[in-house]
Parts: sequence; C-alpha cells; structure tokens
Amino acid sequence: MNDSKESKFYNWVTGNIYSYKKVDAVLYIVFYILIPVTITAWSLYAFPSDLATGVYCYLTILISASNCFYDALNRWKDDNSIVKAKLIIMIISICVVGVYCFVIIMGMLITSSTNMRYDLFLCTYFITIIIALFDSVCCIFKEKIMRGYTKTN
Amino acid sequence: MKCEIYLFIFGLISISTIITSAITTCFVLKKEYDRTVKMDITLNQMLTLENRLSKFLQENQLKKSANINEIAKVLKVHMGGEDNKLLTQAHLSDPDEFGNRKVTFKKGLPSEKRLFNFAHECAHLINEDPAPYTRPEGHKKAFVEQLADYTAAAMLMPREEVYEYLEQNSYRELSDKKRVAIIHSLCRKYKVNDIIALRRVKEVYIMKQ
Repeated sequence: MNDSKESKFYNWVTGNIYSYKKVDAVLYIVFYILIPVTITAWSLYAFPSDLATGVYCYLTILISASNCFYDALNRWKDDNSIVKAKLIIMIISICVVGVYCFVIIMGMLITSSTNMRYDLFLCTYFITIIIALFDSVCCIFKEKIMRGYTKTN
Repeated sequence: MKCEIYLFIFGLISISTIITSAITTCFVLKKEYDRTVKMDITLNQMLTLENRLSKFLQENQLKKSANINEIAKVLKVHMGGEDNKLLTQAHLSDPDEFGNRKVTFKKGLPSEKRLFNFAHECAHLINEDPAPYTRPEGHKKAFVEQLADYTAAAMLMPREEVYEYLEQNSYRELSDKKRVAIIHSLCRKYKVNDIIALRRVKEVYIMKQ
C-alpha cells in the first residue's frame, strides 16, 4: 500500500462517528442496533395475516428507523469529511428501510392485502450496523493500543 | 423473509465486522503510532528549536505560554479557507502588500489537524525555512518538515506548562490506563490529537531528564 493510500485508510479507520466515546458507542449498540434488530426480527416472526396488525409491524420498524436517522443527523460534523462520509452511507441505508416500510404500509392500506412484501430491503440496515460496529470496536481497541505508547522514555 | 434468516445474516455480519474491525484497528493504529510517536529528531535539535521559539517569543514581547493566535498575529499569518485542489495538507501564501499571509487547508481536515497545520506553517516562518511553505501528506517527510512539526507542537503545547500539568497529575507514577486519560485531557486542553499529545509528553520528559 503506498503512503497516500495508507494515510487515507488510516483516516477512514480513525474518523470515528462516536468521537472515541466508549459510552456513546455502547449506547448506540443497544439503542440503534440491538433494539431495532429485535423489533424487525419480532415483526418478521410474528407477522399476522390481518391488515391492521401487519401495518403496525411495519410502522414499528419505520419508527425505529426514524430514530436511527435522527441520531445520524445529530452526529453530523462539518469539520470531518470521513465522519460525514460514514454518516451519509448510514443515512442512505436507513432511508432505504424507511422508504420501504412506508411503501409497504401504503401498499397494504391501498390493496388491503399483506402479501406485497420484499423484506430483503430490510437488510440494507446491516450497512449501518457494519459501520457502527466497526467504529465501536475501534473505540475500544484504540485506547488499549494507546496504553503501550504512554511511557515517558 | 423469515425471522431466522434475518437474525442469521445479522449474526454473521456482526461477528465478521467485529473480527475485521479488531484486526484492522490493531494493525493500522499500531503501525501509525509506531511511526509517528517515535522520536525523529535528537535532543540537541529539540533544545535548539525550543531556544529559537523562546527567543522569538521574547523578541516579540509574548509570554512563554502565548497561544498560537497571538503568535500568528505577530507573524501576520491568518487562517484561510479550504482548497479542493490542494495536494498538501496546508499551504502558506506569499505575503501581500501589507505583509499578511494566509494558510489554506486541504478540504475536510478535522479541526485539530487544521490547527496543527496552521501552527506548522507558522513554525516554518519562525524556523526561517526556505519557501514553499506547505505540510505534505504521508510519512516520508523532509527533515525541515519534521522540525516544523516539532516547533508547531511546542507552540501548541508549551514545554513548561505541559510538564507542570503532568507533574501535578503524577503522570509517571500512574497506571497505563490513567495515563491515557491524562493524554485525552491534554488533547482537550490544547485541541490537538492523541498522537501529537503522546509525542509531546515524550519530548517534554526527554528534555527534562
């Protein structure tokens, strides 16, 4: 890897969406990874045949996606292009889930049928999960590595 | 899609991301720290640069702990905007008719990197380096750039002030974990990144010993 590419890669690894705050990273995992995934998995598991409950299932996923969207917007930092790039990717993946849920809800309400589902779109949220988990692990390991360099001689 | 498939994909992605991230972080950060925290200038060169900076501050009636804005004001250097076409991290312009110079930065630099680059350009003037005044990307930097990096760190984190702060917190007696906390507090105090703070702590103790 040449020097410039390596430097870019280093910037990508160190441009952290949590600004290296471990508590923030842990809370993000709980509130924006574990809870939304549980909600989505539960909605898929218990998907009913009646229309109203079906709409509620997707509405719940839509609300949890909106929370993630709001959080990503609040992390926006004008002075760090790497963080911005990561957040843009996250926002796009969350938007795909949000738009999909909205379309399905509307489709269900218009056609009065629960058969029109393409749930593979829900997997786009995994892109957000990959970035969030990557940066969380980076938070934890960076401090551990730093410890080896604090000697004074 | 079945719930089991969704959870399976989630599990698979999570585990592979955690493993990849752990390996990458360790590899990339260790390599970067090894390269940047190590001393690339000698004790004599450090002392020469410190003396040059002290002389500059004295001549311009500035305090030893003068901040970078005060130093830049004396040098007539101002913060400029970002330049999309800039290949280096920062560039110091030639003086205008009033002797004012402007530092332009590469687009998208974090605030602490911008501040360090600004100090680096001021350092070129204090060190009386030959033009052009830039801060190149990458690690294989010219010696003059390494000296400017040292002076920039010395301006942002004054030696005596940092030493006093470290001694007040008994830095040398602390555990590695607590030392990291002190480094983080230095980063917040002087608005620098951890690599610059780690290096500066090392430099300060080398000079004091």
